[in-house]
Amino acid sequence: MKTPARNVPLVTGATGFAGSHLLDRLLTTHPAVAAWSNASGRPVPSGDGRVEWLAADLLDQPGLERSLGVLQPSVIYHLAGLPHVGEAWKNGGRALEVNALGTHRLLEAVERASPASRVVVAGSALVYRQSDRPLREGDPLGPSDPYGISKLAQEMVAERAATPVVLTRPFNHAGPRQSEGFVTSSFAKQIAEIEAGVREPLLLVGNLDARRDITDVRDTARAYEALAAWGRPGHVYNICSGVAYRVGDVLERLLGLARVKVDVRQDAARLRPSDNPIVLGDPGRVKGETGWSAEIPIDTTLADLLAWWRTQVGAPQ
Amino acid sequence: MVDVLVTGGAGFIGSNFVRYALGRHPDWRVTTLDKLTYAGRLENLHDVKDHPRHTFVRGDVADATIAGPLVRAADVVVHFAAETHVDRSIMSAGEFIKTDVFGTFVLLEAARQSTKLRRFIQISTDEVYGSVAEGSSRETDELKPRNPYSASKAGADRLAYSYFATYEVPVIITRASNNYGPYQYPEKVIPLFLTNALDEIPVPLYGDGLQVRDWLHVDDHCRAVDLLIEAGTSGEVYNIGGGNHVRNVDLTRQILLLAGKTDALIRHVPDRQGHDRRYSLDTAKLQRLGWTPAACFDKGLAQTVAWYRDNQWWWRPIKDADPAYRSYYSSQYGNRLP
Repeated sequence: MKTPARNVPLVTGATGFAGSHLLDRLLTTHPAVAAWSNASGRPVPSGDGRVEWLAADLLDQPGLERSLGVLQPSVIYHLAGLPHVGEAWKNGGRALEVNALGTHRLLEAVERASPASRVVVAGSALVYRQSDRPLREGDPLGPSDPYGISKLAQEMVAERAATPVVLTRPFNHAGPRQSEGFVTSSFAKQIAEIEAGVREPLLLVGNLDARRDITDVRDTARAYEALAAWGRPGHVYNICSGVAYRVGDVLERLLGLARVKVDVRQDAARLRPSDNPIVLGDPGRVKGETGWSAEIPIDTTLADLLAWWRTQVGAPQ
Repeated sequence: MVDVLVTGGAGFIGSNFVRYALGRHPDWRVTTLDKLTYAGRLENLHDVKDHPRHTFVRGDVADATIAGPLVRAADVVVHFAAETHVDRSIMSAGEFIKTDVFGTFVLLEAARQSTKLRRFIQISTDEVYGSVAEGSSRETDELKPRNPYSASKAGADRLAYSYFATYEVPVIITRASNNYGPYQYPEKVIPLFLTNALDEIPVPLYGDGLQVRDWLHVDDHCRAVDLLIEAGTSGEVYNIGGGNHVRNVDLTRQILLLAGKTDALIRHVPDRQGHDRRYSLDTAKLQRLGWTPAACFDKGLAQTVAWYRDNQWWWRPIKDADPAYRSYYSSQYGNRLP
């Protein structure tokens, strides 16, 4: 395989949750990292001269080709996409456009302008058909919501692209900087607000009995790097801890870290239309082929997440 | 003449330092004190052992009857002697406490009675800082050793400082990053992988191979220690780092490439317990004294590979005496094993 002259990796979706952590990781071993963000998305952090930021439009293929032609990234971590919060539910078309068509255009651009780049695409565990057993890569697919459909379309687009791509199915991940649209982060934010005295000591929750395979986002980011190093193009890999945590258990762990007493109440508005009772992955393939495994204990993840929200709501440290 | 005592002078870094010192300083008389355990080998000193300005003494730094008089006769002590292999420390920590901590205590006790000693270099390690997720460790950072080896070294590091603070022993502490170069015992990652690769034996890579180490060529390390003997300030700590932050996966692939082998030899093995993810040193303090690493990592690694390829007399007996290697080698190569 041809090797690009400059060892500069590219992260798309670099202002996103996993993207920002991957960017941090890559900066510990690379003198420079290219980072793409959505012009209308979150603001780009400033101050680190080692990051080459660009506002990129995934639907603008000529623009992507021009940028990639200049950049010639060693690895492309494609993490950009419409996330699984609110928006995808309201607008399935937009999810398909960004996640599937955007990936298609990006991979076409890679093939034409930067064919030596290795590509890792961040998919989703929500492409699987619901199952109460640990999901393996060969298990039946059957997404149950518009977001999952868009991620399955993305995966199929990537699988059939001329450019060889390592495909991934990350399960839930959690940690600092996570949007409050995700349940773990929502709990942590509410606790931080209650601690800061800006919210009544009442925590609104959805379905506490659902069980989710949760990985620390920094472990997830490391998995992307491990898959860029070891993953076989054209193959798909779960990224998960292999442990399903009951949402109520996660809540109790967070309440144990709270500095104040908090009451808990269920809120009908927080129940999603099709909440799977359990989503659990089998990390056997990624462990066997890359040596990666989830390392950060859930209590560390939750403590760091809560600590981050405390800084966001301005509570004293 | 300057009398220099090098403890652990038959080990990897120590023997490189003895060779460097004899070549560099015509006015130095060098005494090597070494217990000749497994990694301390006279073969490491084969070309300088009988040098007219070199004396070899076999003995344990923890034995005051041997180490004491040697320290009291020295102008300069460079204390390399230590148990150093993290995996061994995880299996059995006792030897590490005995050699690394108690051995240092014995030398320091002798040093404080000396009337002529003008420098005591305590060779510590960057591993005393523990894993650093980002940024680089400075000499003033908190010590957070995470395995019995680094904890022993942290104990010796601070004990040495206490003998400066309490008794004014002219101690300087160095904390160097991972060393590479000739004469490194083939249990450490570079010579282990390389000597395996030369024999087409799989190389066992820990975990995902994304751990990062800051590689320092042993020659650059020797120059730094030499500089600190002359220009360092007593009671101070100096980081010594090569500034080459390399992921283990890239290191492994580079070794295999240089050995003319493919990635097919790589085997993922479960990660070491408490494996530190990343070390990184800020070496500004040492650089202010005029030191910079001279070795380019790619070139230094290629030279190291060439050295092991050309000096099989040095490492073959070690590998052949290793039961695991023997059994693997014999299962692969049958009766071709000597």
